[in-house]
Amino acid sequence: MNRHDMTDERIFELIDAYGADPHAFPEAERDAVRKRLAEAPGLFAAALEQARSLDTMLARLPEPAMPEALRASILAAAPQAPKPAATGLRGRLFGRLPNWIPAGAVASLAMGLLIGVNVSVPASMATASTDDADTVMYAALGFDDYSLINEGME
Amino acid sequence: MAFTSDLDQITRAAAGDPSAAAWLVDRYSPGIIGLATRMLGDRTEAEDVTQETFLRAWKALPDWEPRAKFSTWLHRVALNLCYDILRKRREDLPGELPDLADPAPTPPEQLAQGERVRAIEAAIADLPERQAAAITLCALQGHSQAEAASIMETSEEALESLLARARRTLRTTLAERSVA
Repeated sequence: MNRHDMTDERIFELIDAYGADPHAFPEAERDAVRKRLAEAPGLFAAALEQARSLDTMLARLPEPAMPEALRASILAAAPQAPKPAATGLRGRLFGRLPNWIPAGAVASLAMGLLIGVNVSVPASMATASTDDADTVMYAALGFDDYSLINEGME
Repeated sequence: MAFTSDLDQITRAAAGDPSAAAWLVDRYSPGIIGLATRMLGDRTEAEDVTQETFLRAWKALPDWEPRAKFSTWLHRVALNLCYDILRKRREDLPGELPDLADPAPTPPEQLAQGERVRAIEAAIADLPERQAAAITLCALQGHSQAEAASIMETSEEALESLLARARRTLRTTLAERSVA
C-alpha cells in the first residue's frame, strides 16, 4: 500500500497490530501513516494511547540472560578443526590412525611383556622340558634318535 | 552487512574455528533463549531448546547453503522445537491449560515490578502459540514483518492478523489480572 492508498481504517489496523510506534509498522506504509497522524492527531489519540500502554509494558520485560554454562556446553559441541598430520616416526607409523589405536598397541605390548616375565619358567626348571621339546622337534625332522645328533655334533 | 558477516563466520565455524562458533553463539543465543522463554514460560525448557537449536546448527554448518539466512533458519528451528514441547504438554495434560500465573485479580498497587514482569511473561506464554511467537518476534525482538513471517513460515498478512489478536488478548488478560 503506498501513501496515496492510506486510509484511516488502515491506520487503526496498523496501530492494533504493531502498537503506537510507527517504526514498528511495515516500512512501505510508514511515511503515509506519519503524514496522516500529523494531519489528524486527535482522531488516533485514543487508539495510540491504548497501544502505547501495552508497548510500555512489553518494553519493560527483561531479556532472558544466557547462562555461561549453557554457552560453554554449546561451544564444546561446535565443529572441531581436523587435527594436523603427525610428523616423524610416530607420524609415519600411526599418523593416519585414530589416537586410540597406537595407544592400544603400546598397551598390548606392555601387557605381553608383563605376562611373559611373570609367567615364564625359571631356567633351572626348564632344562628337562627343553630336552623333551628338542626331541620332539628332531623327530619331526626325521631323526629317530636325538642322541645321535648330539654325538655327531660333538 | 550482517548477512555477509554471518556467512564468513559460518564458513569458519564449519571448519572448526572456535572463535567463529563463539561469535555465532554470542550473536544469536540471546534471541533464541528469549524466544523460547517467552514461548514456553519455563526457563529450563528454554535452555534445552537453545542447546538443541545450536546442536542442529553445528550439524548443518558443513552443508550450509549460502542463500539461506542463518538467523531465520535458527529461529525457525527454535520455534519448531517450542511447538513440539507445547504439543507434548497438551498431550500430557489433555483439557488442561498450563497454569503459569495466578489469574486472580490483584490490586495494582500490590503488584511489585517483579510480579508485573512475571504476570506479563505468563500472559504471553498463555497466548495461543502462534500469537505468542508473533508478538515475541516483532514486539519484543524487533524482527521485521518479512523476517518474522519467514521464521513462522506464514504470510505477512497472516502475521499482522496474529499480532493484532495477540495484542488484544494481552490487553484483556492484563486488565483482568490488574497489571494494565
